[in-house]
Amino acid sequence: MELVAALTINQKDSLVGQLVQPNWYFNPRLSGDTLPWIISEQEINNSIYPEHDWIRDLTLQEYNPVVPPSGSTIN
Amino acid sequence: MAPLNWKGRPYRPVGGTGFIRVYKPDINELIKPLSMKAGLGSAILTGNVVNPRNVPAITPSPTPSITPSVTPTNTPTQTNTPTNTSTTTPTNTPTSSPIVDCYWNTNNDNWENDSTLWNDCINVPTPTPSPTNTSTPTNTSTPTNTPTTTTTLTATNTPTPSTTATLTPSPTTTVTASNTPTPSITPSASSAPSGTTEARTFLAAVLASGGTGVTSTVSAATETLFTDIVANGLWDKISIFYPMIGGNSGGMSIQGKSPGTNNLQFNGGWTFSSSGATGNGTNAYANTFYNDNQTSTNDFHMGIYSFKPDITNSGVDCGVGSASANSRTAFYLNEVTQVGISVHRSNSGYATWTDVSNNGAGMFVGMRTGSTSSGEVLFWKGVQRSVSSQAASNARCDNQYVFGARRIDNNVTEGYNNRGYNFFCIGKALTSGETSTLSSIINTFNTTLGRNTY
Repeated sequence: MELVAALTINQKDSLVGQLVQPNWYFNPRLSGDTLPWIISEQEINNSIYPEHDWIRDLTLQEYNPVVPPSGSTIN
Repeated sequence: MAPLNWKGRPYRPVGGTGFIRVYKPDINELIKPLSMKAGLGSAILTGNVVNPRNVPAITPSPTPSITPSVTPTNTPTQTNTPTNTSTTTPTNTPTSSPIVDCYWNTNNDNWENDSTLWNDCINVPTPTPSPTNTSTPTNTSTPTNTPTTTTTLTATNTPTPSTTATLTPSPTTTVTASNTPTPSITPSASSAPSGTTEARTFLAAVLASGGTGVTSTVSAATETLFTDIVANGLWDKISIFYPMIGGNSGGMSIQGKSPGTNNLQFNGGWTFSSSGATGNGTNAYANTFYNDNQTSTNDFHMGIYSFKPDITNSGVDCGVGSASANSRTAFYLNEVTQVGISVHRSNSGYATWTDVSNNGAGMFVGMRTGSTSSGEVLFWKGVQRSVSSQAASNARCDNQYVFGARRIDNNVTEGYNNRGYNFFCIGKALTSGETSTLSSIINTFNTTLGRNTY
C-alpha cells in the first residue's frame, strides 16, 4: 500500500517542474480521475530543497487507486 | 773574485757591468799582420761596448706565443684588445749583455765570434728578454690582435647561433608532432572506442552528478560492461543505455553511451539503492527524452532489466504509444506470469508469452527486425521466447520513451508499476546471438554488483 499526500491546486502548481533531488522531479497526479492532486511519500521524504519544506507538514494517507488499467489492457 | 757563471759558462766581469770572455790566444792569429785581423782592434779598444751588430732580432718569438693565448680569452668582448700588449717584448736589446767580441748572428740566431781571436761563442746563451721589458711602445701585436680577435670572435660566436639553430628544429618537430596526433586521436576515439575510456567518462559523470557507492568493484565492473559491449560489436547497435549506478537519482540518471545526452529524469515516487531504482506504482516514471521518431521502425530493440520479482504487478514497464499515429511500443514484463510486448505495432494488443517461470525479473529484450516476417521478438534472460508476425506500424510515435510506466499522447503517462530496474537500453535490432550476448554481459555486470536475479 502506497502512502500519498493530498495537494491543493496551488500546492500542486508550486511543485510542478520542481526538483526533489538532482534529476528527480515532483510528479503530482490526480487521485484517479478526480481531485485531489497527490504526491507520494517518496517525494516528501526525499525532498532536499528548503523551499519545499512545507510538504513535510502534509498528512500522509493510504492510497487506494481506482483500479488502474493493467498492462495487458493498455492499447 | 770568484768566477761567475752564466748558464754554465765561465765569465768575468769588466767594469762592473759586463763580462769578458777568458782570453785564449790563438798562435796563428797572433802572427798575422794587423791588416788581416778582422775586428781585433775594435775588440781590444772597445772592450765592453756592445757591437751594434750584436743586437739580436728576437722579436719573432713572442708574437706567435701571445696570439693564440689571447684569442680564446677575449672571446666575450671585442674591446679589450689594448690590455694584451703587456707580454710582447721585443725590442729589449741585451744592453747588459756582457759579451765581448761575440755578436748575434741573425742568420742562424746564435752567438758567434766576431773575430778569429775568440774561439768560442757557440755556447753563449741567448739573453733572455725579461730584464728590460720596455717594449710597450713598439708592441705592434696590439693592432694585430684586434682584428684577429674580432674575427675569431665572430667565428666563435657563430656556433652559438648554431646552437640556437639546433633548438629551432625542435619546436618545429614538436609542432609537426602535435599536428599529427590531433587528427589521429580524434578519429580513433570516435570510430574505434575501446570501452575503457567511455566507461571512465561515464563513471566521472556519475560522480559529478552526485552518485555514491562507486567503489573499485563498481568501477571495474563498469569498465568490463563497456569493454564487453564494445568487444562484442554491440556498441554501435545501442543508441542509449543506462547502467544505473550511483545509488541516487543523480548517479542513476547518467546515460552510458554519451553522458549528458538523454540523461534520465526521474519523476514521482522512486526509491533508489545500489540495486537500482524502484517505482511506487502510483506516479513514478523515468523519462529518457529519446523520441520514438529517433528509432528505426523495423530495426529496433528495447531492453530492460528488472531486479524485483513480482507476479502481482499489472502495470506497464516501459514504452510509448500514440493513438493518433496508430503506433505503440511497450512492454509489460509480468502479469500473472505473462509477458507482453508490442514493437512499433500498428494495432492494439501485445505479442505475449506465458510461462510459470516468469517472475517478472531478469533481462527482457523486445525487438523488431522486419515489417512482418519476423515481427516482434521477445527474449528473456538471453533466450528467445516468442515471435510474432504482427505487422509493423507505418509510423512511429512522437513521444519520448519512459520506463516505470508508458508515455502516450499529450505527455500523459500511464500504467505506473512498482517494479525495480537497473538497466535500460534502446537501439537497433539484434541477432539472436547478439541478444544472448548482451543479456549475458548485463547480467554479469549486475552479478558483480550483487543485484542480479539469475
